[in-house]
Order: sequence, then structure tokens, then C-alpha cells
Amino acid sequence: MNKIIVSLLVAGSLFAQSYKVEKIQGTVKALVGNSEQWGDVKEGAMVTPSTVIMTDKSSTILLSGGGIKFMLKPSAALSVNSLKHMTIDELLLALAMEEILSTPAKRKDAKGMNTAIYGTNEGGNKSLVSSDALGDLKLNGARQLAENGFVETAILAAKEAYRKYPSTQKNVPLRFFFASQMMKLSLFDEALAEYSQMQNLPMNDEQAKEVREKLDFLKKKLAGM
Amino acid sequence: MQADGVLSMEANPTSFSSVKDLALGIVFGTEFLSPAVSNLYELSISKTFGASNFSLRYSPGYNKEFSLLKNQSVIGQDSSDVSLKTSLKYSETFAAGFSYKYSEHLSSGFTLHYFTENFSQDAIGAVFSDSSLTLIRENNTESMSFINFQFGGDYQFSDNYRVSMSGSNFIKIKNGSLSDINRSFEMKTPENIRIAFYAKPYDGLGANIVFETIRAFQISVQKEIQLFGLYSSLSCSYFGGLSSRGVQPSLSLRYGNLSADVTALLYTSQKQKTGSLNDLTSSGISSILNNKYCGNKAMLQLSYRLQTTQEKFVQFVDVSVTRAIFPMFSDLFLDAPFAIAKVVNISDKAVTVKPGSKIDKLNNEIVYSPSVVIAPKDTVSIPFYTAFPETYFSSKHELSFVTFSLITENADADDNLQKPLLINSSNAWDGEVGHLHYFVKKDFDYSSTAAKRILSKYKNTLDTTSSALLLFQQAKLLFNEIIPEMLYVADPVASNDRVQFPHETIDVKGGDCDDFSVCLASFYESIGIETAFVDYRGNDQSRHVNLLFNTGLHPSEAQLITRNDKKYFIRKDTAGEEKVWIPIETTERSNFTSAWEKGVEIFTNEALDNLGLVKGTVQIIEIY
Repeated sequence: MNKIIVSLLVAGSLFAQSYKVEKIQGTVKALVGNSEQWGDVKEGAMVTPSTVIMTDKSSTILLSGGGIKFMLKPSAALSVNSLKHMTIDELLLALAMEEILSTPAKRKDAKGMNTAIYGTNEGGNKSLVSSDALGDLKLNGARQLAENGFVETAILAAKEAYRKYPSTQKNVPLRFFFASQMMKLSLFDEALAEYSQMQNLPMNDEQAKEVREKLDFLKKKLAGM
Repeated sequence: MQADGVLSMEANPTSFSSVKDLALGIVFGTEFLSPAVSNLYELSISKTFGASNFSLRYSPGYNKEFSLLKNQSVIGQDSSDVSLKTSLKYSETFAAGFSYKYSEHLSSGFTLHYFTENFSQDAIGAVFSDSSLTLIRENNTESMSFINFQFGGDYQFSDNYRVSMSGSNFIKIKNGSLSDINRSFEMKTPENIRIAFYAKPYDGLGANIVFETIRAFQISVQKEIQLFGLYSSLSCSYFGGLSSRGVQPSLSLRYGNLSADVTALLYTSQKQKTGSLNDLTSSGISSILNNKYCGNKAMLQLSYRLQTTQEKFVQFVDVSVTRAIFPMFSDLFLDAPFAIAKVVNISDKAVTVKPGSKIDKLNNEIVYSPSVVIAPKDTVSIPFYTAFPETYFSSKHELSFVTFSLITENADADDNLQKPLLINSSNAWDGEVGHLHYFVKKDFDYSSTAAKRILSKYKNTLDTTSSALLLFQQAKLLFNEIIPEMLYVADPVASNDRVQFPHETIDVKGGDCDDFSVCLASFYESIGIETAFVDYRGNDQSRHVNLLFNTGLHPSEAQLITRNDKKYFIRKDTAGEEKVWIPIETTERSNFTSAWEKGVEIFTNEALDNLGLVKGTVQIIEIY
């Protein structure tokens, strides 16, 4: 909490900047602002922070701006907003904010759930990509962020993907990857929470053993042993 | 605090002002002369009526008699010598007093003392017959009565410090006259001013100092003790002046309303048991009980104080009304006090106080707050909570008053205090978005009926909507039926803390952001759609409120309503399951989709990008 208060003094906002599309290979799509339609991205165009760019399995896009050059490799989706450097304090702030947003106070007079009704599903509208697939692309985009040095925003992007695309939570290798990124940043509480959640996932013996070892290590670490 | 000693018995006319109701007293005394003389000294009664106290004393034992033999005798008929003598008798038979207590600190009063003096002198008389002269003893008796007026005042700085001043013998009303020969025997009553200081600087330890202008003084110390489990005190005085000096030890025992005081009066100065007539006439006596011819005394005083009026244990110092009354927020006043009182325990014991309040026009009976125990002489802050019926409704502000009361073991309140109070109108709002839910819930019945009536028009649409999308679809239909009809009208500046009930917003087809948000939330909640207010606070004190609502969709189902994951947020629902929530800007009245997109834009910008959620400038407030 102290860290968060300190960072409030220095952090005004988490604004990102726009980037220029330097080079495109293959087909790259973009979802701008509140739009419901994915559009094509052209070389030389500017992409704003509210844009999500997506590559297919054979396309790439090179963005530049603010002294940053970033290549989004195939089969990835990335919010341009994530393409920025963050301090650890800013990351903690953002994580706290997500916690505030996602955890409502308990209702005193919690009502029972509505009784079920039956009807036809209207959700059959055609989408460029399925929900599960988009989640995987976003998680892949987050990994690329981390691999290019944007570890803090990568962790945020991964956690958002877990929340909005629950199927991504079952991607054990990438969860190991992001949990290790948290440990690199000394975010031991967050890493402990991550490994604790992973315990419930189906995984092989080696992975399960690694989770147990990490949990033991983190518990001792946090206990000051 | 110790009363005056024998030197200045009843010297302070206000000494009865501490009697709270009725006091009865009886004093027996023994004077150790040869032989010892025992007597009923006095019977007294004192009664208080409000701030006034009346006292009456009958004192048959307040008398002093002198017999003086003359150097003359006559031969009686039986040939025996009959000595001639002079008898002087002084007595104070009655006293009556009145005192008035102006405040807890100040009182004054006066006392009238009724004295009688009887002087009888034997003389030789001659009886002439035809053949002889016979000398006989004649007795000439004269008496006179007078009333001595005594006045005084008393100021109590605190429970432990007091000063009193009184004057006596300045006014004397005589009844009758004396011959020249008896005038020399009159009581000497010099004008006297008496000043006394009483102090109790340490717990259980007190001291008195008394000065009188007739060159008399008294110094006393008193120690409170526990004796036989009773409240007791031991005291000892040294007094001096006029014609005598001495010590006066005393022991007091108190049991309930009954008290007993045993006092000894031991003279250290030489006492005269005999003396000449010239000696008596030259110095005289100025006090019946205390003069140079008195012997040592022992006195037993029994007192009974009857308490037919209740004793006050606690009282208000002040009460501050800390919160305005908003009739709609009845729950809030159960958890947070609307007034804080400073209350002092004026008694010598710990007292349990039950605070009560009754707001005129809002409460039909006294509302009691949790009891508080106050230590003796301690002052504490006591919170007052209240409750009022949800059925109360007033469209305008009302000026009322609240009666605060302090209940102890007494049947009636120890103290009451009234304060004016403003009861806001039922539409009044304190500006806290967290309190808007009261307006949401108030109209649930209306909102539920109206929502169902609207949705029934879309029966076919809703019947064919998938169960997953039902809440979202209902929310969309209700928005499009209600909000586009509305006219945005800001509150008048003078009443910017006013919120309409949903039925009022529907009736007038207009309102501002809080009215629209309350109305839509009430409709949504009444049919089971969870909502939350989003409170945006600008740097310029401007406020804005809109809504988040729970679509009921699992995150994996979000694509049923949007392909853009920036347009929703994942929040837990009542059951703790993660669901898709979307923000709605209720003042964007064109249609649901526009309101949704505007809501996303505002929320993303203010709550997330500008860190409003962690800075506290944006708050999400659940409605329940």
C-alpha cells in the first residue's frame, strides 16, 4: 500500500502514445476505439493507444514512435496502449486498480439467482476471430511484449487476457512464463497468487512439481525465512 | 464538605441550601459541669422547593442560666436565713431561615434567631403591720425578647472549593424593655462579619478556615474514611477568640439517608465555673453555647434526609447536532450519530446513562442510543443515534426541534435539552453518490411494475432471446424506452442537492445525471439486473454520476454483445462469479448503444487512464 501511495504522487496517468506503422508483412487487422469491426492496417498509418492490432499466423507489423521500435510477430494481438514502459510502482497501481474494479463490495441482501428461462441464442453473429482464439492471440502478444522488455505491461496484458478470455487461463506454459516474469520483478505476492491458481489446472507431473516448489519458495520468501 | 463548627453554629444562612428535598435533625448534648447537664439541644426541619429552601429550628437546649447570690439575707418565718439572689436566663428558642440557590455556584439567604432573656432579682421588702415591721423577700422579674437578623452568601467555585460570607447582629429587633438595673445583663451582640474558605484539594481530604471580625477564627481538617463499611469522615478543628479557645473533634457516619455525628467540644482555655456579678456584667456573653462559663460538651446529632424528589446524577454540558437529517437515509442514522453530547456525571458514583432523543415531526417516541457508563465527576461525549419510519415523506424542508434526554436509574430523565433541527425534504440528497441507492430502493414497487409493463411490449423479442442475453436485452430495451424520452434539466443552483424519485423522473420526463441514473438503476434492479453507480469527481468540485450494470454474461460469452473487449469490464457478481459489466452514460439519450460507448469512453478515460479508481476521484458504488 505504501508503494501505491508513493506512486500516486509521481504518476499522473498511464497514457500511452500513438505509433507509426513502419512495415507490414502479410495481413494485419486493427480494431479502433469502440468499433465493432476489424479493419486493415496500412503502412505509414498512425495507430492510436485505443487500437488493438492483430497479426495472423504469417504476418508481422513493425511500429515505431517515441524512440521505441516494436515488431509484433505472427499470431498475436496487442493493444497499442500496452506498448509503453512502466515502473514497478505504476504496475502495482494498475494491478490495484484492476482489483478495485473487479471486486465489488458484498451485497448485504444478496438475492437469489434468476430462474432459468429457455430461448434461442442470438450470439451467432459472425466474428473475424473466435473469442477463445482472440484470447490466445492476446496472450501471445503479451509474451512478445515481455520478450521485448515491456515486462510490466506484459503482465497487465496477460492478466487482462486471463480475465476477459477465461480459456487462456488454461495455457499452462504461458502461465509459467508470466509467473516467472512476476518473480523477476520481485512481485512475490502476485507470483504466489498466480502459482496458487495454477495448482488447480490440469498439468503434467513435472509442471505440478515445479508449481509446488515455487509455492514453497514463495511462502518462505514472504515469511522472511 | 465540612459544615461550620460550633464556634459559628449556623453562622452561614445558606448552609441548608444543599438539602435537595427534606431534612430532619435532632441534637442531644451533654455539658460537663458539676453536675453534668444533658439536654435535647434542638429539633430542626428543612424543606427545599425548587431553588428555595426554608428551615425551622426549635432549640430548647440553647439556654444558659446564671444564679448570683447577694450578700443579703432575710430571716424567714421558720427563723431560717433566706439568701437573696439574682437569676439570669438566656435562651434562643427558635430560628427560621430562607435561602435561595441562584445557580449551581451561587446561593444566598438569611436567618432570624429568636432570643429571650429573663432576669429575676430578689430584694428585701418591708411589710408594716399595726405593731411590727416584717422584712420579706421580694422577687422582681423582667424579660425581653429580640430577633437577630443574619444574612449571607455562598459561592462554590467547583465541587472542591467554596467560599462563604455572612453578617450578623447588624439588625436586631427588640420586644420589650429592661430597667436600668437589668440592662447590664443583656447579651452582648457585636456586629460580626464572618468569612469562610472550604477546600478539598485532595481526594477525601478537606480543610476549612474561618475568620470573624470579632477576633475569632477556626481551622479544620477533615478526612473521609470507610468505617464499618459506611461512608465516614473524621475531622478536627481548633478555634479561638473572644473568651475561649479549644478543639472540636468530630466523627460522622452516613448510612443511606441517615447520618450521625458525634462531636466533642473541649476547651483548652481556663473556664470559669464561678464568678462575680461585676465580671459577668462587664464581659457579658455573646453566645449561649460558647462562652467562658461553658463546660466541655459532647453532642450527638442524628439527621435524616428524605428524598422525595429524584436526585440528578448527570447533566448536559452541551449538545452538537453533527449531521443534517435526510429522511431518505434512515438506515444511516442507526450506524452513525446525528448528534454528540457532552455529559457530566455530577454524582460521586459511576452512573449508567441511557441517552434518548425525539425529533419532533419525525419520531413518535423516544429513540434510545446505546448506554454509556460515566465515572464519578467525569465528562464524556455521548453519541445520539436515531431512527425514523421509511414511510415519512415531506416534499419540503421543515424546521423542527429535537429533545435530548439522559436517563439514569431515576424514573424521569435526569436532564433534557432541546435543539432546533432542520429536517430536509424527502428529495434532499447530501451529495454522496453512495447514498443514491436509497432513492433507487424507495420506488422499487413502482419501478418493477413499470419495467414489466414496458418489457411486456417486447414479449416476442424477449421470448426468442437466449437466456444468456436476456438481462442485456432487457437493459437495452428499458434504456431505449425510458431515457430517449427525457429532457436533461440541471437542478436549480439553490437546490443542487435534490434527487427525484424514479416515478417523479418518469412523470416529469426530465432530470439530470443523478435523476436518470437513479431512475434507470431502480428499473434495472427491480427486475434483477445488478447495477453500480460510478461517481466521477472533477478537480473543480464538479460531480457526475452514471451507471455500470451486470449483463449476466460470463466473460467467455462477451462476444455475444461485442467483438471489442474494451467495451466491457470483468467484475464479480453477487455470487462472486466473474461477469461482464458495461458502463452506461445515462445522459447520452440518443440510444442504448451510444450511451454504452459514451460510458466506456468516460470510464476508460477517467477511471483507468487517469487512475481515478486509485486516486479516489472515481468510485464504483454498489447499489444494494
